[in-house]
Amino acid sequence: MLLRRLGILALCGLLPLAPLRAAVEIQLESQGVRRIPILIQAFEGEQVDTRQLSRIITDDLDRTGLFRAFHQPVPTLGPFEEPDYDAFDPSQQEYMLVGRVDADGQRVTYQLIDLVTQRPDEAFALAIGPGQERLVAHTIANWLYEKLAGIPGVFTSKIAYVLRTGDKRSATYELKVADYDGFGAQTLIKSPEPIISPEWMPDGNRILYVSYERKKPIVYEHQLLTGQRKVVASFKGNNSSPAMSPDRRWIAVALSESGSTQIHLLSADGTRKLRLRESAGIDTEPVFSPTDPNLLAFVSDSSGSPQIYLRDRASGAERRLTFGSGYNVSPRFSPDGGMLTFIRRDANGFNVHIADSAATDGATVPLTGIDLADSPSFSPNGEMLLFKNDARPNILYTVSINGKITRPFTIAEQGEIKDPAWSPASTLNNWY
Amino acid sequence: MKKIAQLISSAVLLAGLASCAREEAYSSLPPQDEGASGDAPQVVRTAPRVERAGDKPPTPANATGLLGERLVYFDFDKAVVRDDFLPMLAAHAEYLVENPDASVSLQGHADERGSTEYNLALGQSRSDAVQEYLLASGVFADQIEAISYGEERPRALGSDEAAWAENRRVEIVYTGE
Repeated sequence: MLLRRLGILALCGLLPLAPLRAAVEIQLESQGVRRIPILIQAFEGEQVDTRQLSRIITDDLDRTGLFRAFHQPVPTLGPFEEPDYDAFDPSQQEYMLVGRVDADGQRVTYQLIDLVTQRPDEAFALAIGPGQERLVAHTIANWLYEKLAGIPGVFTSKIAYVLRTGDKRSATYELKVADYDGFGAQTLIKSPEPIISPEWMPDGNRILYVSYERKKPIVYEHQLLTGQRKVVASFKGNNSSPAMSPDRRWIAVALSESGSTQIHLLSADGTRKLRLRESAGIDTEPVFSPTDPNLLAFVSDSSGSPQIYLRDRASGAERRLTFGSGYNVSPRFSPDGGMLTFIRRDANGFNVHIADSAATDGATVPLTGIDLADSPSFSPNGEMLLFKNDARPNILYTVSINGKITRPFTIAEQGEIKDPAWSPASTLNNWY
Repeated sequence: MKKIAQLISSAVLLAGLASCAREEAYSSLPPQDEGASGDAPQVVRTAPRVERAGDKPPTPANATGLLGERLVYFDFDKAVVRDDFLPMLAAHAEYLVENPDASVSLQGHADERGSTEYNLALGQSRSDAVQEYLLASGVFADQIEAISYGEERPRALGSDEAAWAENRRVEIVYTGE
């Protein structure tokens, strides 16, 4: 964070010319990361389908890269029974979770046991409302994650995406919101014309997106709680790639009204319109730093190929982030503003990369070796990324920043998932 | 597996380039274009249009030869019209010049790779490039609408070079066709 702050000060011309050296190390190989081994016993009395609490909790923890989560489908001990500690190897299993669902299915009691200190934690209970098994499991996983990893879990967060169904002659597009793992999807908008680029607004209750329903791309805002929507940008030509500033005063958009696609800022009250910069080619995909309403990242091909740039809006100072590859697109900031993820064409193809947002040496790090990656976005706690693969229509991936643990998961949709976007931390957990 | 990737080794500040200049504010929002066909350039005709009420605009429907070709293909991440498509575009330009009541929609597309938004802009650059050629050949601006569907309307499904090549295109669609 210090480096980032210094970088921004420098952009404003407030620091002298002396170069600063900084060493920001991100541990990216699993060797450098200790994954906490935890055994999740199947809960007594739980459902054994997609509502299986113990399985959901295991999958949640496994994706984070901070846990080595094992699921025990046939419990080796009864709930709240004193374990035979000698039967466990603490180097293989440091913790164990046990639980029981009441016979009427309306309450779960669970307990974490420390197999190293051989001490059970106190037991907790949660009510399970109708259809809330997955929400309750994610809530338990959040508690476990924060207790053992010390940072808030993201398992009750949401994703937005577009579902394209039908054939190429007559497709249907739906804007959807689902749990972060793809369950519980709900449709917000359905259209025979393309819908693209859903982007969460900072409050987590509204989504900006682009719809071709009037035969050209126009930017809309959709209120999740009320279903109300309004036009945000409908100028001559294409209106696309919306993103709202963290202080909620500006919406950045890409407009083609002047000819080539250029980035503009619209004031949230609709009274002002600024052009961010001028280039002869394509400028698009503006995103604001979540911690600095003046700092934007965007894509420009003014160098001859799409590269990622950062621009301080107050000073007009600009810095090119990516070098050494002729294709870098889709920048997204981490929640603390310290990192950027993007798609970069490298030796493995179109790959998910991250870079320090203050980097000036062009250093980027690939997170996977998966070709045809698309649409990366950070989890609300910054520990994971969500992305898709263009060749696999209904599969999404998470990858942990720490240890690069990649996990695919199938979305139960017939069709192609496009433009997935992970919600900010502030989204309502159960707005439905 | 043992290595620890070092993301950043140094940061050289770009002081000196910083101008701290503020952007100019536009006075206010221009009238919002809510119409469905807002892409039509506002150009005053220099030749009178022959109005034939009730008639459909002319199209080279069922044309053979160059006029029957409606697809202009592009290289990856490029919006330059390749020489091999110039004869075909010349034929369309000639038809449009001879038939000022005819009009075309130039629909730019990109393959699925890379970002949705960059591909939307790239598809627009492609249809703009074809439009430029037609304008330079004497076609009136109000006979042409250049739009982009980005990667949303593939002609070929699949994730291989053949499908991608088929999808990097501008489609010439005559009004009334």
